Amino acid sequence: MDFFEQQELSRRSSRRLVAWFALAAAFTVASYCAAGALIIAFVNLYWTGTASLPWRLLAGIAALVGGVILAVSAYRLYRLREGGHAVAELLGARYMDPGRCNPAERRLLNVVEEMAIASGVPVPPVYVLLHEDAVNGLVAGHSPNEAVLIMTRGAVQKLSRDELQGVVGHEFSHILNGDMALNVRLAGLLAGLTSLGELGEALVAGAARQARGVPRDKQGGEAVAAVIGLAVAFIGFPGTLAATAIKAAVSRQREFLADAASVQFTRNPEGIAGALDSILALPAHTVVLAAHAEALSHMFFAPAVAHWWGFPTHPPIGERIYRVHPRFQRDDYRARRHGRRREVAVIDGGGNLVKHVRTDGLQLLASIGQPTAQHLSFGSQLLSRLPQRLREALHHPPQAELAMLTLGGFPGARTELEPYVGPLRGEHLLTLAELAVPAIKSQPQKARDAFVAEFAARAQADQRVTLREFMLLTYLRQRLREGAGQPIATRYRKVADVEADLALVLSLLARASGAPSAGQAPGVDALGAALERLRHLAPFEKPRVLKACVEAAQADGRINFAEAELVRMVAATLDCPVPPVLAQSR
Amino acid sequence: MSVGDWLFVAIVVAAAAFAIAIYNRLVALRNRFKNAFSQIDVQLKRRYDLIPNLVESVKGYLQHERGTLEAVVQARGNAVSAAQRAAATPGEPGAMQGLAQAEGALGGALGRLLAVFEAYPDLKANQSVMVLQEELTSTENKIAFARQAYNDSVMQYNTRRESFPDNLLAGVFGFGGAELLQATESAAERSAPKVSFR
Repeated sequence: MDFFEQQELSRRSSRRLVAWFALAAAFTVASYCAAGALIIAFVNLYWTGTASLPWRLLAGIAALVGGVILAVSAYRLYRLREGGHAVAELLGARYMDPGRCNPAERRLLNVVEEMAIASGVPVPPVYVLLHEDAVNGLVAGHSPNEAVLIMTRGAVQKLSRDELQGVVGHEFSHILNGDMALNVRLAGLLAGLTSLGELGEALVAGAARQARGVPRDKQGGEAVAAVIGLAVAFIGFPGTLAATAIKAAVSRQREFLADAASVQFTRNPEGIAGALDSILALPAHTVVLAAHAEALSHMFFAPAVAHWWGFPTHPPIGERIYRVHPRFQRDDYRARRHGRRREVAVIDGGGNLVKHVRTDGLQLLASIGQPTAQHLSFGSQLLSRLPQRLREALHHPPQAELAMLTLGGFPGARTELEPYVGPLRGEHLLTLAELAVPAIKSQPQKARDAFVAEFAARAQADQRVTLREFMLLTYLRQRLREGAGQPIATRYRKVADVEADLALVLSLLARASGAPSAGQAPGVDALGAALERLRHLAPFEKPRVLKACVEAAQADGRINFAEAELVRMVAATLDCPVPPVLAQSR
Repeated sequence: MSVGDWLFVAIVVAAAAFAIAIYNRLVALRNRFKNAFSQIDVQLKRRYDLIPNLVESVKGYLQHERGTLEAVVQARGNAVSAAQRAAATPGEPGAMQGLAQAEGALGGALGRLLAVFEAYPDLKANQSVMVLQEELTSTENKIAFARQAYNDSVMQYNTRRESFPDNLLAGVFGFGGAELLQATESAAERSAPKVSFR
């Protein structure tokens, strides 16, 4: 669809809008009449005992309300006939003079020029809402030639350059696609509907502002004003509700279109997605405090008024991000953008610092079930680094079993795969097991059971089970058992039901992290039974278990490989796969 | 005149109207991409004007990066002359390729210079250098967006020119094909910026 088609479509929906407005106005008038009739009926019932209605009075109410709506709408439309500048004035925005601006404002002006080139729209004058800390913005005007762009100060200062580009690109789509002209007409029409509610709000706010500096015993006047204001706001509710319904009907779909167009202009989905994510991540709200924000709320980039009732003017931010950038890596982006990534020292078995891992416990937890691009490339890198011989072995069931037995490192049982498997035993224990499982799993259940039994026998042959043997055995048993990967029946509803089992597992983790051992090391059988019970915990309780494990593992401020692998083992048992810990030296 | 004659006249008039419509549409599209090209031109000129200022203001700080600075200045000179050749005949394949190459080289040289900035903290603390850097970043973006807009409009023009029935008449009216600006990466552009830490 090209520019002219869009403009024509917008004109047509503009005509439909007038019909909507008439309907909403009728609804508002009717609800006032109904409220009036109820009050009058009750008053009459109380005083005279008959619930008769003075129809002439009701007709008067209808005429008054209808008249106010029409008059305010007509006045507002008249004021908005000048287009964009009138809207900027209405909001109290300051014109940004290209000759006199600070670096942040200069950056905004540059971005606006860039987007004008990309979209082929004339460069609009830029205004800034100096007193708004929120991240938001809008365009206003009747035609692309006299549009203005209005941004909040929060958006100018808090967004990165790319994010700003995304937001401005979004706004340019509103100019190009004719939404803006439609929105301005909508703002004018709906002003009548919202006027009573806004009047009430202004009275309450004004009273509150004045009351601040006044001694308590002299606050009578302000209190009266506030009460009147509340009453007016309450009475104005039907009109505001009807207005939000119309706005929601018009604006929600256009927001998706504008987000998509922003990507078309910038060719960078991360800009707009990042801007939306920053609204969620930064302590930045989007609520604009300026007067008349309610009447213009459908024109903003993000929700500009916060209501617990009524119809949202914008789609949920999460859905907008998903539609514009389905592969948006939120955690990666935040780490890069806001620097929320801690480093954890990785300690080898001998207590030496090997490297810093750019991950922390919470990230390990957040990555459950969500391998990022980094994890995937880590996996493929590891695969490509494996010797040809081992890679082939992992694809044939008997050879894969042999590789696992080799990985176990059982004394006195060296195999031909030892030279290939040995170097991986330290850091990639479970990752290698993960690669071997599919081949082993392709065999019938009987063969799988036999393999697990053999592995267990080898592990226990020397009367002591090492941590490595235990982890491998538990992992393989979990992945190769009958019905692995299928939903697990819930037997325990709360963590409290399996408290003792959890304590046992946590003590193992504490031991691995080098805490002074208190009492006997937990027996292998007891641990196996405890893990089995934890497996049957209700799904929504499992994250708490994993969180506890991660916290126990990093109690000493660092996560070593054994701990990370243990957490992965517990997670695999609970059927919450955790990607490998990314060990990346800086 | 007989009915047959009238029919003949009607067909001739309809065919002429059809041809005129095609002609006008092609003219509109051609003008659109020419306008898009002049947009690139405007931004390129702006870049040529910015570079001497930038080089002048950072020269004092970058004694050890003389090579990088000289590469920028030289690439600018080449690009200016290539742009003059291309502006004479927009859309002409040979000139467009020459310009694309020269601009690619200049973009690469500027990219390396901006990367070098990162290694000089006192340079980044300098207000006027920061302003210039923002201007340069913005100009680079504008050039990229102008190229994008130019390519979009050339694609529209070419698609129309090559589709039926316009392709029957495009040759007759003398509408030649227009060249897209390719993302040229010369060897110099592809080489990683050299940054030395001291």
